[in-house]
Amino acid sequence: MTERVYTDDELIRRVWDVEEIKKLVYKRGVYIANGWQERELKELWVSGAEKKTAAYGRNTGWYVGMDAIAGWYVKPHGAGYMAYEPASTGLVELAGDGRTAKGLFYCIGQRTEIGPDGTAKALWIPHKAGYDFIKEDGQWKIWHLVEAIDLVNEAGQDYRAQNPYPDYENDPVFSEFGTPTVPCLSHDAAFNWWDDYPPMPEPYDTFTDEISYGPEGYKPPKGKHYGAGEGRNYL
Amino acid sequence: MSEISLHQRIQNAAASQEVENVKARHTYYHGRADATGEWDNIWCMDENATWAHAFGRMRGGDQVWFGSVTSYDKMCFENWLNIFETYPEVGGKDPRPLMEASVHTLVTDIIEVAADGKSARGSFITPGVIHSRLTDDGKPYCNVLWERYGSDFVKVDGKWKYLHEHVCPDIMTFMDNCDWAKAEYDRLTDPNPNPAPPPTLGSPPVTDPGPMHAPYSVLVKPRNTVPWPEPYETLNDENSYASLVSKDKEYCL
Repeated sequence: MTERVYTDDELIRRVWDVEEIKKLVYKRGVYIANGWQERELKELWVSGAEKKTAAYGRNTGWYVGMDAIAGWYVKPHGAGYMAYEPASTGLVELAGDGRTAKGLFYCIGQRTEIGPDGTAKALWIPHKAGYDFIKEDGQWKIWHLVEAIDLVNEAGQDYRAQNPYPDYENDPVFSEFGTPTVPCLSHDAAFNWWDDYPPMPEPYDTFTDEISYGPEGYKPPKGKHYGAGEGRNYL
Repeated sequence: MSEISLHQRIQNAAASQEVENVKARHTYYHGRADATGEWDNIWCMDENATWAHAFGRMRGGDQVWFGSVTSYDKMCFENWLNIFETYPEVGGKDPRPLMEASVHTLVTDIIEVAADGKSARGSFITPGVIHSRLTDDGKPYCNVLWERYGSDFVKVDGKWKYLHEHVCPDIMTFMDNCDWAKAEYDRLTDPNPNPAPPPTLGSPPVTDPGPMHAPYSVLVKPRNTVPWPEPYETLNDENSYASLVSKDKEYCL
């Protein structure tokens, strides 16, 4: 990356941009807490030319395009629902050209919900969140987001009693993601953070697909051979 | 304090954000147990480097590397040797992140950049989680670990790097099924009490022996071991989380 030298005026604008980006992520936390998923997509995400390339990912793939994202993400929430995804540990890299930015955060999330039978349940959902941001009409917007969930555990229940392998097909928090536009096991929590996804953003000059947190930027880690069972069934 | 020019204020505002990023990189490196990546990329490993925990303070690049990289890697590789027969799919994978994801999330950042722009100091609270799936007893675990950090940073060749870290662990327990205060009370009031749990991270060689901080106890008041930094002119023994061995470095002149 070419080392740019900024004037004071340019530098303080960049400082301002990073603060605006952090505010955008923190505001999203409040939208989630209020159950404003539809408003979130309308007000915090891209609405211009990049609507078609917007992506929302989780461990098992990405929905691509704002229509596909809305089809999965927007659900009615009534009494008894509450979710917090407080973003901490912010690492924001603003592109040298100032047009895009990348951010990585960690959320010790919780979700409380009412089941079909009227019983209530509270869940801990710690996860990493990787964001790509783009400036549209002078405002920073979310362009790509991928959430890598590390574990799901009901509050008050012994996590050690769980099967160590995440159940991506039957665990409600994983299976609610349905069949995304691009299915892909991008983060297998069985191996902790071995797969390093989403990775830390590094300083960069101009955005390219290669570094995207959308599906186009995903690179499988070396040594991953799920098809062969990785020796799991040998002994 | 001298008057800081507008130019320097802008530089320091940008520096504050860069230091926040360095600190966050520590979390993400450590979450993968990538000690080599952490100490190779974001640390100034000269003779002034220090890393302190309850057990004491390591001083100088060599001792910090031995305690934080070599000894940490050893734990990771021993863990791999303990789990590969139960979970052969760990073969071919970097053993380090397979030990655990130790995720020290960062909140309440209080950062001061020196008036001279050559160093920065920060205090943080970390309400973290430490979790792992494939373990030697076949059970996943998730601990919660709450700590405070006092951290010093210096600018070296135009890049911000860590110089000092002082970690102050306060609470560690299982997520969701353990009351750390009651457990400590029960231990102390037991007629035949067990010894206190050993400190985490073993006991690597240190120059300044501990204890440098003690975790929560029903017997003592909270300790402000790493007070937040106040505005300061330049890095020196009065404005630092560890005394400086060499004071002729560019970042403290």
